[in-house]
Amino acid sequence: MSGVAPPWAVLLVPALLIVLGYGAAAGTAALRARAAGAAPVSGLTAPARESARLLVQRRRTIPGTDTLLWRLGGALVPVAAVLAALVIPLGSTAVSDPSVGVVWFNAMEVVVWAALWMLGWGANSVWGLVGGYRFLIQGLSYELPHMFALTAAALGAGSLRVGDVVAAQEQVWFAVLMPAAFVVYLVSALAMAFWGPFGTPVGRDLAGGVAAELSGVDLLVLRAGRYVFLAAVAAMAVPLFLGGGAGPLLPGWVWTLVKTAGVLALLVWLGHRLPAVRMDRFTEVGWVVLVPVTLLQVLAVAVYVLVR
Amino acid sequence: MVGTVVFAVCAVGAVASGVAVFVVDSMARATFALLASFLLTGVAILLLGLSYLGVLVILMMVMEMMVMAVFMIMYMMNPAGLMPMTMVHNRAGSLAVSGVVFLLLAAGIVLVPWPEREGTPPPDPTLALGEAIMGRHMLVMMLVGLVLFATMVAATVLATHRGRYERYGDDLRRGRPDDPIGGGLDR
Amino acid sequence: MMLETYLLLAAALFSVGLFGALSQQSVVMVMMGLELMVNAVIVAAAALWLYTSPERPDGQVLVLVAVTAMAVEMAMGFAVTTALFRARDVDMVDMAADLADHRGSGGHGGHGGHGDHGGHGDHSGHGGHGNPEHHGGHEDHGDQGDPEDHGGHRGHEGSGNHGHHGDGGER
Repeated sequence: MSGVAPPWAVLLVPALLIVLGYGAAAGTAALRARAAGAAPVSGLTAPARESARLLVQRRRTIPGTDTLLWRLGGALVPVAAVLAALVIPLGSTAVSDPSVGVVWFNAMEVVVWAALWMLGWGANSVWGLVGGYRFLIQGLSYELPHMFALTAAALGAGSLRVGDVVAAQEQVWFAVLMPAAFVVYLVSALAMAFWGPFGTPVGRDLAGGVAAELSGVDLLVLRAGRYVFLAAVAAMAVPLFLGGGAGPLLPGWVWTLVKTAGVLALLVWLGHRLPAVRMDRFTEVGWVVLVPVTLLQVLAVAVYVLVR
Repeated sequence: MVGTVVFAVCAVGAVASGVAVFVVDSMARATFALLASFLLTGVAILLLGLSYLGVLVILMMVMEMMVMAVFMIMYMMNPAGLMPMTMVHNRAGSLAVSGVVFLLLAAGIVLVPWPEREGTPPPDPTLALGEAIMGRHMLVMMLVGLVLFATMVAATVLATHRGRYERYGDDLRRGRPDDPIGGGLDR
Repeated sequence: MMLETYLLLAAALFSVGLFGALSQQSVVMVMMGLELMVNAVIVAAAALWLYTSPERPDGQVLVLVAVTAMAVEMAMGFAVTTALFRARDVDMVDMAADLADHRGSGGHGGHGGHGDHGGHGDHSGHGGHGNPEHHGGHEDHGDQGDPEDHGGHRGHEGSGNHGHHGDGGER
């Protein structure tokens, strides 16, 4: 079922992620333009224009920064996204298909915790630090339900290998078999990409939060990294819950891209529609509602695997 | 060969960043130096073929160090290291003790005739581990689960300064708990 | 040969952690040393598993137990630190020596009741801008606290061979 791609495919992963991330950014800009009453088409070029602006913008310098951690934090966001995406199969081929691919994805996606906290800390700004702390609380709230959602998919396949998870969905997609886990995965995808309702770590009420003091290239790296990361978590939903590259007529890699684009569009639209969630509220929801729900989902999947 | 080089880099890096934890002034940097040390040892464990445990160490350490960073900033007097200060006692003695311990351990490691390897690694060590803790070693898993649960309860009880009387009033008659921070479920 | 190399790495990590745990005064830094030591155990257990008995899963199980021990150590350590800090504004191991043998030491004085308002105001101060004169600052709050209490505090510091944090500038 699953093969391993040639080494040059490593370069394909960031390229595809950037294309998908650009699409997400353009979609966001188009939605914003429509909400503002302008023509949505102008949103298609908005990310490019904004990138060019940030590239030529001069970097702001701040006294007392911890430059090492600050720069490292910014760079880690896109790097973590690419590393996490290495295990995602395109069609039936992944750059790498380790026996613990699901855990690998989880470990790389947690790196963003460290990245955002470093960004917030390094800027020597109270807004940044509060933003970094907000993301840590957000992480502690979404991570456990997220892990149980991943566990449910791995349990249904009886393997932590992403290729095996895809293979196990030949009969029925896991999104149908374990809807609660899929929904929780989408919620945690929004949360881990600090996107939409979970965007308070970079929220406007904090003057930009961890991004408050960023400017020029640094800000571009963070913003682009966030869209790339959103694309990576959307892409991971496809092999985990949506049958990977399975589909009629078209080849597997096209189906993977189509489904990824669909999930990404859903996430972008949700991010545009939903109001911001306060962390003190989401924490209780995460621990009191989502954790038991996902636990029950894992139990249901375990029973299903036994009686199947 | 590549494995040896990677291991050498990881080993030296892990020890160096471990030393850096106690050398750097900034507490944030100390936390991330410790994280770097853990990540590099995680890679060393990956090199042993223990893919699950290696990735688990990486995953857990990132989360744990981020929680650590919060407490570092909370309890250290000089979190950013902007005004360097030394917070050590008995440095020479500690250095001597740890040096002697290292020499003893190293002597033991070099001198002990280690047994020959018996058998070969299983094709999937993760599966072997899973079958062990769900089979013959299930007692370990059960104890680990109990200990972790007890830790969660005990740590929460120790760390919180408000009990049910603060939340529900002296006669526990308050309908809604009086919490400084409300939750999301409107309880 | 690789087994010895891995064990030497573990020994080095263990020694570094031991140095930290013995020499550091702050509870958090002591815990970092402990974590390094547990990490050394993880490396040693994994290497021993692969190079002596890879057919038996015991080495892997030991690694799992060590990882759990690390999590438990961290959770309980910070819980105790928080409880101690709440109760009497203590964040240094030397000031939490309740179980130590205090013969000939003025240490008891420092254990009175530090959980006064002065302590809490001070806490936010040192979290925010990293004032090295933390305990010097504590003296400034003397109007809120109990003078005898502070006397005991000073006495403890003087006797405990680490007078520097009474006057944080000296290093």
